[in-house]
Amino acid sequence: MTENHNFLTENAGMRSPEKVMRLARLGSFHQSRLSFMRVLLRRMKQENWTVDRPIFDLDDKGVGVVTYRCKGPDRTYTLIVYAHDLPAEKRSDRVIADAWDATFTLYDGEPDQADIDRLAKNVPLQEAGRVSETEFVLSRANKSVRLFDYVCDCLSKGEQPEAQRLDEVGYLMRTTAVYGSGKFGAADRSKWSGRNEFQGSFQPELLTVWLIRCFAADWVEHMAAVKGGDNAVPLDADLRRRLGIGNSTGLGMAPFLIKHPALIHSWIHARETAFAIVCGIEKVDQREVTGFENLARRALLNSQNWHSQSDLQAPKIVALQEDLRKLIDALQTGILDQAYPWKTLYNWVEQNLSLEGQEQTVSLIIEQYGDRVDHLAGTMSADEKSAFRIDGNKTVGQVLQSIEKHYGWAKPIAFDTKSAQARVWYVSEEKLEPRLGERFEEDIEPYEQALAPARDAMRLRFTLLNQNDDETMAMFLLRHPEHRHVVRRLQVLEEAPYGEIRDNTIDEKMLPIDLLRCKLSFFGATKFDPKSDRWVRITMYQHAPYPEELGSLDPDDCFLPRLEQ
Amino acid sequence: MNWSMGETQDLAIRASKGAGLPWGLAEEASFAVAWLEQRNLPGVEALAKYLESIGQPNDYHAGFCPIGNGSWISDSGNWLGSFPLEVRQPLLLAPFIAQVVKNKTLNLAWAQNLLHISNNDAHIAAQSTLLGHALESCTLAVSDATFTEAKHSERIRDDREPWMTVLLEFAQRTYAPASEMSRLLGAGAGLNDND
Repeated sequence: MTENHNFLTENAGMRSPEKVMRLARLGSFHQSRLSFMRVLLRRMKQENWTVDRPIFDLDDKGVGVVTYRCKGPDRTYTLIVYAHDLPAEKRSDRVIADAWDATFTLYDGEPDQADIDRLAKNVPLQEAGRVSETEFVLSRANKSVRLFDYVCDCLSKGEQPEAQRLDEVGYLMRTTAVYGSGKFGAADRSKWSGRNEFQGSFQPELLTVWLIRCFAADWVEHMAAVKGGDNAVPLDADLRRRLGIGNSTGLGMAPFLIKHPALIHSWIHARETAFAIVCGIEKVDQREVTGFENLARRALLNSQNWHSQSDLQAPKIVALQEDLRKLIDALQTGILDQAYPWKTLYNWVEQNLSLEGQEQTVSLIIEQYGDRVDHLAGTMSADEKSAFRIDGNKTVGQVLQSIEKHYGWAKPIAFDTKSAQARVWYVSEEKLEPRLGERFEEDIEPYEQALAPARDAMRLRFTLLNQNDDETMAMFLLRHPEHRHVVRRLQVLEEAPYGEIRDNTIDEKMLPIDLLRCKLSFFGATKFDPKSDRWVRITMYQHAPYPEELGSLDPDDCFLPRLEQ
Repeated sequence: MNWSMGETQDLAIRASKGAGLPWGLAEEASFAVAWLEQRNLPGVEALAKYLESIGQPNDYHAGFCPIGNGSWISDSGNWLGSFPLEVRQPLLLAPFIAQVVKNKTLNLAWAQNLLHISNNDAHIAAQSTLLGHALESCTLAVSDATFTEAKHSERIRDDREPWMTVLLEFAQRTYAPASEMSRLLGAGAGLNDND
């Protein structure tokens, strides 16, 4: 597999890690057909999954239990919802909150009453409770109160809400954490990683989120019926679909990209491979040209519905809108009539559009070629154990070469200056969440996490330059165990060239939201709305089918808004 | 408390770092604990007792460390040549020895304890005080013993709980005390989400 990766990287017209793995570019990524929520819905449609609601036991305050049962060809999963009546003063998106509007767990199979009772004592407590190996995901969500109340009010009077009001927020509820993979006692990833329906990454988590979106719509209709009685109406299907599910994500997610190089490589490598495959197409027909223009117009509409007050994001959205207009204009010049039209178009895009526009275009170019690229979704996971054991026979000289290859870009960084090491990644005592502090203003350096790979690689390099070139790593690490984690990382990167972010993760100007944006784009998120440089609100599954619509709608045609007829 | 393997591994890294091991060896300690627990051997207790023997974080010394010595064996592939060896908690050597054994069984012995180790398993053949506090002198030899591999477990047994508590205490040393300022600065979130 290694040789294959390198072959593609060097010979098949793939964009290089040097180009792709910069924070500013990763922080401009958009969802694509390889994004995990799209992979999930595509599979569920192909396999005719069905979803029903065996329990819907909510009182007039909306408090109670609801279950959503998903049946696939081999297995059944159930989302168990605990709906609460939350006082406004307790509603916080921050991870240190201790109560939520609703709490959830994804159960492996069909729970009996004893399971529901056991989990009722734990799931509402979230981090303070414990789940078990029959639970795959633990999550919670809060209402967007203004929109929830507005929609509830309209429906209770027999009226439909205004589409524009729905678009302004985009969701009735937002999740504030979605925990999987063994967290708080849940099943380890190894329990489900071999299951066909969960190939790829984060599939149980995104199944959970899709079902939470369904609950949000069901919940508002229930409350409207309580309020309006016979006058109440359900939400119109087209309006309902305009509502996604929100998410509020902070720093807890940011170190993930640094801690899992082999996995990140697999994601980026799949997307870049897909792009290279499509760029290798020699000619396109009129249907493909028209199809692409239509996608570009839908992306423009999407960007026009993308609202952010953030100084960091708002100018990027304006630039994206301008980029997409330029792109649509360029299509009128016959640029796609040339040989290798997508490669030609991309070369123009790189010269003329912002990073937002460039990465949006990459996602759009892949879009029409599912038959050529969708299989790559199956490669978007990694066995992180395979490169764990250190090869002690490697010599100092070989490791220095490896540093040159993967961290040569870091050599000009003056790590002895304050600005280059201004930040410290640490874990707070409270809720054990990752945080980012100021090295020279707070007393936190003793708690620093190993999340500065470039600095650590340069420290290793400095030490190695004073060693004998022929010495083995086994001998070197016996004397210098403090460099062991870096040597292991280099070994991982030899097989995972897209695994390293080629920027200084402790620089004073580093923006953690770029890390979040990259990961969330692979989930399939849209409408990134940073609330600071270190937390972001997003929308997921907006325009996507609800479970009962999977049979009649193509989920891949639902991730961008439709043009008005 | 029904611990998953993943959270136990995460805890083992933090605890080892808290006790003074460098990051790379803390990762090895985590690997070793999971390897042993998957085979129903008391990895959590062995690591907890080893970390207790270190003293203050600055006192950490790789010399008698089963993780440091185990890593050397795994890195170098030099198993027989590394023995006799003096370490604490020799059980923690087993996962590293298993990495370098090929097509044979090895006997790891100390005090009145004897462990058979193959490339994917370990089996206690004789034991007295398996997890004592003493510095132990260990030997390693090729064995003609055979044993059947047990089914691997992916959960941590409930009786490990007291030792998980010890690991939690060591892990605590790696967490920065919270202040409202650090909450706001460090997490960067606002105060009110009633929108």
